Amino acid sequence: MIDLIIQFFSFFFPYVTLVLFLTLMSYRIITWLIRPMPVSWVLYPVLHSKVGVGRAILKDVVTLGSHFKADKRLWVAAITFHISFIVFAPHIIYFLSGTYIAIDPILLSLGMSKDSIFGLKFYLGSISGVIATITVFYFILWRIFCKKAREISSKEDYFNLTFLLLVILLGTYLRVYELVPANEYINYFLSLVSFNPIQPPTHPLFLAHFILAQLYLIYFPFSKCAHFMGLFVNQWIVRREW
Amino acid sequence: MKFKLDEYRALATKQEGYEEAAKRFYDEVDRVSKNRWKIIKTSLDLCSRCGACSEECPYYNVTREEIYNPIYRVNLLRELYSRNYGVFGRLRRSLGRNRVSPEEIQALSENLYRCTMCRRCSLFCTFKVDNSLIVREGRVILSNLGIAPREIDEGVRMQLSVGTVTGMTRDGFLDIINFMKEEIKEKKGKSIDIPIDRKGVEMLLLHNSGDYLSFMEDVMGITEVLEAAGASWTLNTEFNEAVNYGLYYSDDILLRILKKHLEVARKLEVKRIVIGECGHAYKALKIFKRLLPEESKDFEILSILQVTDDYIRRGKLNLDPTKNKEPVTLHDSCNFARMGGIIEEPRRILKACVMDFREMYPNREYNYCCGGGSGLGLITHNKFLEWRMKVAGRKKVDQIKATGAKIVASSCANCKIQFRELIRYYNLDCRYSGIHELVANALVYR
Repeated sequence: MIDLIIQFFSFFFPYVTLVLFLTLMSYRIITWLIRPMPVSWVLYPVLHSKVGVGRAILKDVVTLGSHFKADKRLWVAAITFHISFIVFAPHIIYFLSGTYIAIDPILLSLGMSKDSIFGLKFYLGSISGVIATITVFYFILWRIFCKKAREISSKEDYFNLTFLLLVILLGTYLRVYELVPANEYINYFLSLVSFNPIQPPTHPLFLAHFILAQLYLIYFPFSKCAHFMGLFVNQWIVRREW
Repeated sequence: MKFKLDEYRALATKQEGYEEAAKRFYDEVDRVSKNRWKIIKTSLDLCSRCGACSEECPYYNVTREEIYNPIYRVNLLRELYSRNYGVFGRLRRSLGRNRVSPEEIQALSENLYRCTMCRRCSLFCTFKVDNSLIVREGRVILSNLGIAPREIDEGVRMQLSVGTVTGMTRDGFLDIINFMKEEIKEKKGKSIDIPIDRKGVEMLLLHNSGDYLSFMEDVMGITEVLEAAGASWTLNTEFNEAVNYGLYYSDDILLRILKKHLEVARKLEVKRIVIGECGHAYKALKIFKRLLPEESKDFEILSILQVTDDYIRRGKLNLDPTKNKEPVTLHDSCNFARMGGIIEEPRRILKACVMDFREMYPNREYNYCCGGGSGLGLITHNKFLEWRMKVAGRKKVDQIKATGAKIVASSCANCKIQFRELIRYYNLDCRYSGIHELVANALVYR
């Protein structure tokens, strides 16, 4: 029975996850975009060129500039989390590097040895994972112990953070202690991408991490994490006069 | 989530009113939400409750009380929505677990009237979550259920029947106009013409009718400016009121009043509608005229601040700043600055007509609300005036004190009402003034 569950989550469910994530996220975005916006609802002062507005949005989103003006401490935590998460989350790119995406040849041409490239990826992934874990943990503690945060936090906030903490914590633990050899999961992911899945690493923590990550991705479009897309809708509305 | 109340009451709704509203709440949400704007939907969905906006709300900033946190008050509405909509909401609805109590409706109603919809919080949010629009959506739902502040509701009723929220009739208005002419003649020795219902002129000027009664110096100031600049303009007697309280709580009323304004402009065949010193009236016409594209396509909407600034820059007014020697500071009205883009105009005007202009900090789009916006400045019963003074206006008082100015200038009637009370309540060593009172004082006829 357990074998059956593992096989289901290893060979079939990743594709279901991908389809659900893309479908649900698209559905969410469409439900926003089809809504009317009959008037120009801006916050002044505004820029008048579309390029200027785009640049301002990008600057605000990349630097979290609006948050910086409001709360510096929260900004440090938020920017640290997002940077570490962005570095950590695309470990798919890390898996693919040297195969589909030619990162390794570039690094080699820059004079790096194969060992140092591996070391760079290992430490970058591990450090960002540790930082992401610490910041998510900080957010949970902040919501529990800071009066203001506690007052405005909902059950969803705690659920979301705990869920995310679990996924990141397991991933980081696996990475830092090298519980699964890198080539094993790289090969597994490559086989998934080529629609010819092979046996995944059998370490129970890897399977737990992998299953939880998939469930999180399905939950993601309906959580407040969808802000990563929705904020562009809002920014475009309030920064552009028409 | 707990639905809390503070000790003040903005609404005079009786218990039966809340009971009735609780029964029909979701029917009304269904109706109102059908055409919900994009930004309201995203704002309801995306707030991550990070609290970055909390301290930027002047009410939370001075009290640190949960009930005044901008996120708390919109969370009340989110909580009621989640009880009936979405995956879990549908489940609850099917199990009959989506009931809303009258107490919850009362708490929601009162809390939605603790926000002046100034949109300052949105400025500090990277997601640009618009709490003010969520508050407005809640107020629209509640007003359709019969819950709205008495003062605002009565004013609207008066406006739609008599033409003005103050109840000022045509004869009363003509008396005031005559009085104004005499006053200007007496003070400045200048006989001026005040055109009324004149067809084919360039501008229709709409004042807040309360200005004729409470801030007449500003109405006279605007009249003098237009006279001195040789403007082609007129007042009207048919719908002699700029305000549109529908902006704060009702789509239906917003549109009805907008239509009236545009109808008067069409009848008088003017090219421009100019709004006097009234922030929300400018915003209502300027922004929401797009809801009536056919009726509004022929008219340009301007604020009197833009008109006067233009006259000054073109050298049409002869101003002597030495006539205003006292230090003056400017309160940026939220509707003009953050929401209307009229930020530099009042500064240029004041710098041209006063000796000592002092900025108030934070200012421009980052200004704090005076505490009387979105119609709250009209509410005084049930200790609500105390809330406006102790909670809503406290941040502004600190700002004014820091400038050391003797005159607080503002271009919004609502703000002036709030300043009148704040100066009295805190016994501040300054007075309030409209921008055009100062302009007229500095005006020298050629």
